[in-house]
Amino acid sequence: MTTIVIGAGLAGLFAARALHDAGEEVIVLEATDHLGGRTRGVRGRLHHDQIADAGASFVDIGQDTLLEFCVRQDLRLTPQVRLLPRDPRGFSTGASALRGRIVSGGRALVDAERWDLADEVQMALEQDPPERVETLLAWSRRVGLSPRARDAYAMQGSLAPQARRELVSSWHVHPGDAAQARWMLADGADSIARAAAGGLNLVFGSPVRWVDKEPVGYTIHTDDDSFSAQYVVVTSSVQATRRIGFDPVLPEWKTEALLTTPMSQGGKIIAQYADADRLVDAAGQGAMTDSPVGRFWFKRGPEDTLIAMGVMTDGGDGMLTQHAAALQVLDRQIEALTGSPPDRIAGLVHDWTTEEFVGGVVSLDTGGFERRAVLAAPVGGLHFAGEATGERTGTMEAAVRSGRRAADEILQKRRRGRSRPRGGGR
Amino acid sequence: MLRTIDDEATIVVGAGLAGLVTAWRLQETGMPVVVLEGSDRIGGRTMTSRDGWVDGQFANYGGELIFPAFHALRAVCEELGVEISPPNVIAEPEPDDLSVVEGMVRAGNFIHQGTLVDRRELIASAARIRAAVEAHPPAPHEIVEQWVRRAGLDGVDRTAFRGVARMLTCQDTWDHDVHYLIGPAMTDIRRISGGTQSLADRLAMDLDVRLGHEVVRIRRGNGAEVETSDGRIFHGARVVVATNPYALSGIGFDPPLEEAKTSTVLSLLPAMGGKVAAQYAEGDAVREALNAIVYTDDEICAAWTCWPDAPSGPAVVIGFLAGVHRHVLADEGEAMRLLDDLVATAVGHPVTRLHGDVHNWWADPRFMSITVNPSEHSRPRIAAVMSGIEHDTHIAGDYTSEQLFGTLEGAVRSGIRAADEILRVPTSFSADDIEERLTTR
Repeated sequence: MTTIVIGAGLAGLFAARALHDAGEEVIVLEATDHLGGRTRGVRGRLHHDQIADAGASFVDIGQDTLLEFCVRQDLRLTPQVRLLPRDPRGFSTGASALRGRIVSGGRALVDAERWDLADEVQMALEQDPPERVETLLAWSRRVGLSPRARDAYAMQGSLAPQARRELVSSWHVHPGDAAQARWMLADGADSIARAAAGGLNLVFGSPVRWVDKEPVGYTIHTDDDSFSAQYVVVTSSVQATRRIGFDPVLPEWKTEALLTTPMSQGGKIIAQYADADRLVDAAGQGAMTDSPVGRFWFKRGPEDTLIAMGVMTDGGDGMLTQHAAALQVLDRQIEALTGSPPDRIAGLVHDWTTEEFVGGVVSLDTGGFERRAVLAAPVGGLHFAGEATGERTGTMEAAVRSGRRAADEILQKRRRGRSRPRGGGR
Repeated sequence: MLRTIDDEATIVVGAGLAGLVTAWRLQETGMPVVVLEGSDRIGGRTMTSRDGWVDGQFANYGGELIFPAFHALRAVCEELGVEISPPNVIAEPEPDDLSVVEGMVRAGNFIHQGTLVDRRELIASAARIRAAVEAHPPAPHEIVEQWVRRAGLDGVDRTAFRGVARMLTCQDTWDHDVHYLIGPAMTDIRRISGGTQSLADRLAMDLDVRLGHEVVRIRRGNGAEVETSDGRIFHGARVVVATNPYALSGIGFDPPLEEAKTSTVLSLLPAMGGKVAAQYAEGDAVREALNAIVYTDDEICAAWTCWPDAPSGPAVVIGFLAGVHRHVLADEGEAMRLLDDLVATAVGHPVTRLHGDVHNWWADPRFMSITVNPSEHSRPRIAAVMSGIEHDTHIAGDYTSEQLFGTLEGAVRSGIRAADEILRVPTSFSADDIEERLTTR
């Protein structure tokens, strides 16, 4: 019998891929018309056929499942992007980001200012390190950072996990083991999904509304169709999963985990500019800022064009829905670094908070190991995958690994089933 | 000489309802109390807007509704002489109802796909909802939207069930469980007659409340040293932190706040949104249509008249804009247009707006939510963890009150509980005290 995979994001595609490769029948039901979930590539909005990565951008060092997949599928990466400079001793810490470019109050801080701020933060990190879950704001106030150092330090939360500084725990930025070296997919982040989807049976525009358990297997209901399956892999985001009915109702421990896993609220801004050489000369690898575009970085395109990608945290100011205003904010941050208004030739804003089948950027991983494990645990023949369910929460790598893990759970059940002697004896 | 616990003040952080109740209770017993408030006003999410509204009317931007079970709140109001309005019926339950929703559907008005649903259809809908609850009994921990899907509700029934859930929680129906929709109906609501703010103002009347004192650091253990953003330092025997949860997680506690508390706060799902309010000239018609709560399947999930017993004059209507629709709050013109449309649909003809305003709690970093509504299963644990005393630090606020998250009553009860904790703290004995009073000579 079939396995139904809910969601054609990376977790769903890698689960389906692994099952398909093992000879299983698999159907992937995708609610939207898009492949790739939160690695969506937007086409037709940028010049020169460039793809706008509306969601995830980066492959990091250590994300070996993705890297191996890229090698096998011949997916090319961009030149390395270095968002966090090392400190003078070669380490990466919660102070490293302050050594990179910063735009504060519409002004680019000069090198000496940033290094002073970074030194202040570095000293405080060494003398009185943050506790793991202590928020960026709480730590910076506890150790008495100067207001400017505090603001600069707290800006980091806007990149990962892209949440307001009151909601970001210190472990996200210190000791800063992640993001030392990162790359982007040369042909868009969704090239991973496109490669993974080859040969799979995908049904788009099919939001799963509820799942009925049958005497054997499950019936999966979409708006105007239904599917039978022995196993189901639920790979939708935590919020989207909270919108699917299950009969019988999911056990208390599962809904509890779903209801205590907030997703960061925000979106992505992507703008294309002329004069790439000039912009990169002056603005390097981008900057972190105290504006609604909390951090932006660059990807080069053909004919001296440059794509700037930025992250926007929902601060309640409406900027995620006021696209023209948001793009002007990004222009101004770049101007602060280059000294003159950049020549924007295209741009868009993608708001993940209002996407019915997503509901946010990434899960906030506020419950640590235990919550991830509970989110991942199967309920009968219902298996669960997605970035929220595994280590490295909020990354493409987490999604991919979780999909393979869910597929393995099902394949192990199959093997047990086959090895059971006929007649049901134990 | 015995030192008494009165030697040093108790410092209360936050002049919302919880903090004010704590401070008021302690001061009543003769203890010195200082309340530090970060903003320039008293009340926190107890907030009544009075400026700009004609005829002395007002709009409650925060807590407003008083349910029959709010005994502690009513007792405090009685003691302080704060007047509570007569009841306003919001539900017409019947004896064999299986959920809170049925009674609210019978008494409320519902806008489904832009049209006001007529009363006979609502009576029929209540019966169908009852049948659905009977056929698919919701588990208490079940997420509302998951139950709506499992039970196969559609049409007016789905609008009605979702509408009541959204109104009661200020959240999307996938962000909370169904437990409070099952059980005895709440038949009527009351309000504080002069606006909810008047309770906060009355509580603060004789208190030492310092406005504009944003607390950034609290050094605690062996007393508390509380520092504000402009460097002022207050010493106290102890501190009561009566802010909302997201302000708590941003204070620089030294030693740091217990990890369990921070993790608990960061795991809450906030009700992201705010209120939209407007005053309409056609007062009698608006009161007739909106004294009962109007629920919708649209951006503004519910709206009602803020002062239903006003004898005449214009009417003030309040609505929630929250969850996935919260972005509209940043566009005041659009928010007003939505409320105008809602009121016109409920009244049956266009209405004349005299004044209007939005209040965006989500955008305010001091709050970042209207409220929180944890699942029934997690409430006792959350309340226990959050209210646990550590390093001379007491925590108050509606989110520390087991069954009453997100209510005025929860805030009041948590304030009373924190005050009681402090009143139970025994006198401390110095070595000299012990030698003098207890050792054999």
